[in-house]
Formats: sequence, structure tokens, C-alpha cells
Amino acid sequence: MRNDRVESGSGGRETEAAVPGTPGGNPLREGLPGTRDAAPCTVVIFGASGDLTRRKLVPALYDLAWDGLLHPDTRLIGFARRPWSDEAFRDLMRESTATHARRDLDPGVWDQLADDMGYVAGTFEDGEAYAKLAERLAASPLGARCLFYLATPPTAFETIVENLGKAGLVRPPRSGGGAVGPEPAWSRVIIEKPFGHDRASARELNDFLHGVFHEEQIYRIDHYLGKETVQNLLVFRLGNGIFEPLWNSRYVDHVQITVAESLGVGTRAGFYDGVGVLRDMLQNHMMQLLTLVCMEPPACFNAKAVRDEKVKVLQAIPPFTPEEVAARVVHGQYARGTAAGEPVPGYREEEGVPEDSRTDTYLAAKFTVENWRWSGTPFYLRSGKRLPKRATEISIVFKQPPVSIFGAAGASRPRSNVLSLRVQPEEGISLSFGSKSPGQSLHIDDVRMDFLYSTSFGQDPPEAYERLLLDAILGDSTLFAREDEVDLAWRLIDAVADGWRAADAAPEPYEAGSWGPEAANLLLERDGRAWVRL
Amino acid sequence: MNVPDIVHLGEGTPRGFDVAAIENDIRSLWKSAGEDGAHAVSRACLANLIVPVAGDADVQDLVEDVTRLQPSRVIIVRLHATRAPGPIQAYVSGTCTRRPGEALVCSESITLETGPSNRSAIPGAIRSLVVGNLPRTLLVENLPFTGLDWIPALGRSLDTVLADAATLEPAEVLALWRRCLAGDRPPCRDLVWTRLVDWRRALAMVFDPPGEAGLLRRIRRVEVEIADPPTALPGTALLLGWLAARLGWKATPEGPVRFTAADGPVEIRVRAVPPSRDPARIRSVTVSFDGAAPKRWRRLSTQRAIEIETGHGARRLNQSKTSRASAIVTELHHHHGDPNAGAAMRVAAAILERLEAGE
Repeated sequence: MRNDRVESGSGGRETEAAVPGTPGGNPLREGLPGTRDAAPCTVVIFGASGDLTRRKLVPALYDLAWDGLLHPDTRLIGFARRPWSDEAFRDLMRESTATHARRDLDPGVWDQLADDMGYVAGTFEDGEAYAKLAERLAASPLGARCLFYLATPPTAFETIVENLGKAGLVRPPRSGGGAVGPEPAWSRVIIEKPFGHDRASARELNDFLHGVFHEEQIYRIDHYLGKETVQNLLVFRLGNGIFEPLWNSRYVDHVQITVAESLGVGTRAGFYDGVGVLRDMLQNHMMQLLTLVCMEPPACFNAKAVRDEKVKVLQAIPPFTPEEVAARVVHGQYARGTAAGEPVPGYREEEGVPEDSRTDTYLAAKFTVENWRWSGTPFYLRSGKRLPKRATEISIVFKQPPVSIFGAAGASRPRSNVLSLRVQPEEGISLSFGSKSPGQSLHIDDVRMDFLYSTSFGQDPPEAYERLLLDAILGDSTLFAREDEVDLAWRLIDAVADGWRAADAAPEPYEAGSWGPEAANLLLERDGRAWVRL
Repeated sequence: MNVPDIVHLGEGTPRGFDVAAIENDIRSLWKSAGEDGAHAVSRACLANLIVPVAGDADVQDLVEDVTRLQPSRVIIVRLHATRAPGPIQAYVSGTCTRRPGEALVCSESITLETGPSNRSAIPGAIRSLVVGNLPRTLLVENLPFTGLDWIPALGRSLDTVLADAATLEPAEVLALWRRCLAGDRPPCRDLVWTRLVDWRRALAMVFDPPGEAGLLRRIRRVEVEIADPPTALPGTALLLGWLAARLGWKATPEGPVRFTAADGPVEIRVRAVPPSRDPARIRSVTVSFDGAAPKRWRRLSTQRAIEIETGHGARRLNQSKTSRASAIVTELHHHHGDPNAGAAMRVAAAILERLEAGE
């Protein structure tokens, strides 16, 4: 993907003339193949003692270093409440990296990453801790380029950002010098989901962030967008000549997007209850997938052009009226059942969940996209916990031929062609189509052509966090959500929540280990369709 | 059930070249592969790789390493120096590598055995065996490049000819580079250049800061330490050629290798160091400047990395393209010309013999 830097500028002072006629002043850079070299910088992780840091972020940084994609001078600083020393933090991160990184622990690679690794102990409210962080950043020119990663509960976002601002740790974009390396100084912040709990709170949070960071410095992360298969969706659509002409309501009967989880709420009840699948999945992951399926080809592959097209899709989805919510949205909550052959409790029996909880753990909805390309094609989205299997898949179901000429010969009518884009597991793409069965009679059977990532490419795809961390360091925000995307997605989500509230609608129970409430099947049956079997 | 990392599927019996029979043998091979039902077997092919080798030379490691990274149909052409006249003999085999979940991903190999009498039949045999609509790359493996006079006959049937100058005799290296520079079909590439990417990145990175880029004008000496000079010199010449081409240096016409830059002369020193277990051939590069401290890049023999010493403490850049197989796979799908490679080769060709002469 092209790296379109949002922040531009001539960089630090040029003390000597470079070799003439070479962009960027370094003629040795020109034509170096396939490298996106990151500038030296400091990554500061807030919430450094948490699971996300240990299991994903630090292993991702290590894997990037292993692949030679981080600048050798990249420095990591953890910030959290636990009273750890630098050394204790390094030891813990080493242990986590050995367990969770894709690559084996190479002492040489680790030692370089750990060389300047530090830790600042303090609460997110503690001004002194930010002063210590400022001291550490000021002690090295690397502090002039700083990526702040908020791997914290959303309740801490505003406190951290406010204190970063007060401590003078946020440089305005295009502020120029003081940095080592080819790029100017910069400050960027990565914010984990959920970004607000409704449209109003998301707007408040955005307003707050904009008091300290400019929009171009804010990277709202949705790790789904870092997955290879999600990125491949655009390559598949726009990098091949045969699919895009069919990618519209003239040929596509309907689209299904499924994000199924086999696990229950587990230990996340404290976060999940009251949030539900509507806010936890539909507002971000599923809306991102929907926009990538529906968007028009951008004029070029840069952050602004891609995100502009995604926003247009969200603008073209009419928010539901309360009546439409009743007719087009099914929500459920898992009851006791079995998973992987074992009995499992219902949602209300899970630890930390109130007995009378009305939180949705399943949702199915029928959306429409009212633009020239998609008007008339419904988009059925479903997501839930405690479903029979973990699967994320986009199914493009094509229209059948207008006339079945084989029916007269006794052939069964072929089913619709289905193009399946599997995000997880077994990442890949399948196309099903009818084929004549061998024999004297004319019988048509469905057959399937499969492309599997694991079969076709001998190298493991990078973890989503690797890709997204590197993009943020490089200043490429293509795969991060922009303010208006988040806002428009919340507009749709709020309409559903308002509809449920107006109707005082409780989620329909479904047995754990099933594919959700029966009403979800009826949602499609009413339209003469059925969920693709996963 | 534990599946080994590599599984070989039955080597067929050599028989007279017959395309239909070979394809039949391949079908039988795959039919038998999944018969035990113990694990999933996927047959995959993303490219054609043609590998001519001398006689019974062992290429199994190469086939395993490449197909692990990129499932491919491999056509091995065994060129026997002495063999009774007769048709090309052929047989099929398979190499499977284990992927997560214990599934086996398998690539097929077709081996052609031929003597001196029917070399001219090789291009036709290859054309009939390549999988259509997939990249086609011929890899010259430990063979005199100039001896493969049947390669040009493959013309448009091939996308790329790959060779590794580090495995060639000096005269062969120059023949390879001349051919690459001539732009004839099929186009050729040198894997030495592919593998140099990490050195080029490590060198470039140091001059990224605006204050450092100006130093490139003030380079006065470049010293390269190499191990095993016969195999190291092509890479050394290409690295120096790249620097010279990018920085506008002109090579002096004769005598010891030396360049003239806009602001003065640039002296070149190449020094051999004792061999070690590290397969890397370029061990260090030291660049000296007019009026500034020298900078040194040093290969860390045990750690797959280049250490960079710039006077502000040592740093390391982890190397990504170290293995031969990963360099080959990089080139399998890379069919666009690289102007940097051509420019570097032009200079390298002019200085290689002088470097070899120790000048």
C-alpha cells in the first residue's frame, strides 16, 4: 500500500546541501525496493501492565524489529500504575514476547528493542508521573517523535490526553525540527475501541481530543482493518478486472457479513454488560467491513481518498426508524446450552453479569445502502457470542440467471453463486458455482473453488497490530477510522438502540451453541433467502 | 498425529519423455498423497521454477526451501555430461511442507534427465510442462552460465532468468551481467543484487537525517572487508557500483579501483578477512569522510544483523533477505526492471576484474 504521509513538511534544518537532484536529500534511498522505513521514534504505551500490551503490542513491536521494519533507534516506554522498575518491565515484556510473538525470541533482536526500554510508574491522573515521562522523553532526541498508545479502558482516555497536553508532550503537526532522522518531529496518539458509547459521547470525546491533538494526529484503531484478508478485500475488488463490473445491485442479490464468536463473555462481563454486540461489534468491526465491501473505488490509494469513500457509504445508509428496528433488527442473548460438546452457562449466569441483564449478545440486521451502486441490494449483518464456531466471513450472493434453460431437461435449478471472503479462520476466498455432475443425466451440483492464504503463501501474514503500529509510526492513517466515520457509524447504532428503548424490547434468548434466535432466520426467510451455512 | 515438517512423495520411475504420461503420473501422485486420510493434503502452485543442474547435483534442499515459501511446479533439468543418445527421461515427485494445523501443502517436481545429444529438445520439453498463466523463472544453479546455450530459445516462454554471481567463475559473472544489461529476452537478474538489499538499506538509513545527507558529498574512502574473495567480489563490486551510480562517482579508467566524485577523489579498499562459519560474504563497510568521523557497518556473524556504528553508539539493523530461498522467491514475482540494478551492474562490470586483480 502506498504510504501517504498525512503530516508533511520539509523536516529539520538542513545543515549541509545534499547531493543535488535527489528527493529527500538522500540519493541512496531512491529505488530501495519494498521498504517502508520507519523513522526513529519513541512508542509510549499507557496501560503497559495490561493484557493488550503483553499479548499483542510488545510482541508486535518485536516482530517488526525482527523483520527489520522498525528503525534500530525505536524506543519503548511503558506507563502504568504498577510500581515496576525499568528492569522488571523489560523482564516481563521479554517473557510475554517469548510466548506471544510470531518469531522465536532472538536475543540480538530483543536486546536492541529492550536497550532503551523504560517504564514510568504512576496513575493516569498523577501529574508527577507525566513530568517523569517528559524528562525521559527530553533526555533523547527520540522523544521528538512520539507515538502514544492508549491501551487502557476508555474511561482513562480523556485523563491521559489532558495530562499529555498539560505536560507539553504533544507537538502540533508540522512543528518542525528537533528530531533525528529524515522526518520532522511529530506526536500521534492511537486510541483503542470503543470510541464513545453513543454518538453524543463519541462527539464529546472527539471534541476533547481535538483540544490537544489535531485530527491528523489521532489514530482510532480497529484491529480488524489490520488483518491481511480485510486489506485483501480491496485488492480483490479493485486489483482484478473481473469482479468490479459485477460488484453492484444489478448482479449481486444480497450480501451477508457474519462475525461469529464461539466463546461467551468470559471475564469481560464488567466491560461487556451494557455495551453488547451492537456497540462492541456492529459499530466498529462490522461497519468497517460493510464500508469496504460497498465503497466506490477511490481515485488513489491514500488515507484521505479511501476514508472519503468509506464515509460516503455510511452517509448512504439510512438510519432505522423505530418501526424499522422492530422489523429489520433481531437481538438475542445466549441461554444455557453446549459449546464444543460441553455444557455452558447462559449469559445471565456468567460471573459479573446481573441476573436481569438485557444486554444483547446476538444481533442480526438488514441494512440498505441507498446509492446508485447498491440500491435494492440488502446487506444482512449478524454477530453473536456462543455461536457454534468462530468465523468471520463476507458472502456475496449473486443473482441467478434470468432463465433456467436446464429445468426442462430435468436438471435441478442451480443455487446462487456465492463468493465468500473468509477473514478468519482459514483466511481465503471461495467461489461456489454450479457444474454438471458426471453421467448421462443433466444434473447440476454446486462445486467450490478455494483460495487459502496458508496454502498459497509460505510466509505467515503479519499480525494486525504489527501492520497498524507500523502504519502509525509511518504516519499512514489509511487503516484507521476518521472522526466522521466514527460519527456516522454511531448515528446508525444510536437509531437501533433508540428503537429498542422505545419498544422496551428485550433480547430473545437463544441456546448457546446455536446460530442465534429463530427470528434471525425469519429475517431472511421473509425475503426468500437464507443465511449462508458456515 | 505428528506430521513431519517435510514429506516426500514417491519418486516415479524415469521413462521416456511423454507429456501425457507425466501429467498422469502427477495425478497418481496426488491421488496417493491423501489416501491415508490422516491429514489434509493441498496441492498448490503459484509459479513455475525451472532449475538446470549438472548431472546428479543435489537440489533437494533448494526445492524444499523455495516451495516452503512459495508452492511451485519445479522442473529440474539434469544435464549429464556423458549419456548414451536417447530421448529425454522424465519422472515426477512431490515435496510437502507442514503448515499450521498439520495440513500438508505439496508442490510437484518434474525431473528431466538429458545427455549432450538432445540439449536442443529441452526448451520444447519445458514449454510443454510449465503451468499456464503463472510466472516462469529459470534458476541457474552452480552451472557455467555461458554453457546454457538453449536458454535463449525459451525466449518469451520465460519471464526471468535468475543466476547467482556468487556461484560463478569471474568470466561467467561478467557474461551474466552483460546479458542482464543487454536487455535480451528472457530478462535476467542476479541474486547477489537481491541479497544486497539489506546492506543498501543499512547504508542508506544512516544518511536519512538531513544533517547527515550532506556527508555523502564528502566521502573520501570506502573500505570493504570480505570473506572468501572469489564468492564475495561480485557482491562487493555491485555494492560499490551502486554507491558510485547513486552518488555520481566516475571510475578511473585503469589502475587500482578509485572513483572521482564532484568534490574530490574516493579511494576504495577491499580487504579479505579470515573465513568463519558465517556464510555472509561482505563483513563490514567503513566510510571515511572529509572533516567528519568515519562510519562503520559490520555484519554480526551470529545474529542475522548489521551493526551500524556512527559515532553516536552502535545500532543494529536486522536482515530480512538473508536466505537464498527468500531471495529467489522475491524474484519469482518481480518482473519489472530495476534501474538501480542496471546502473550498479554497469559500474560493477567495469571494476570487477580490477578488484579481482587486487588492484
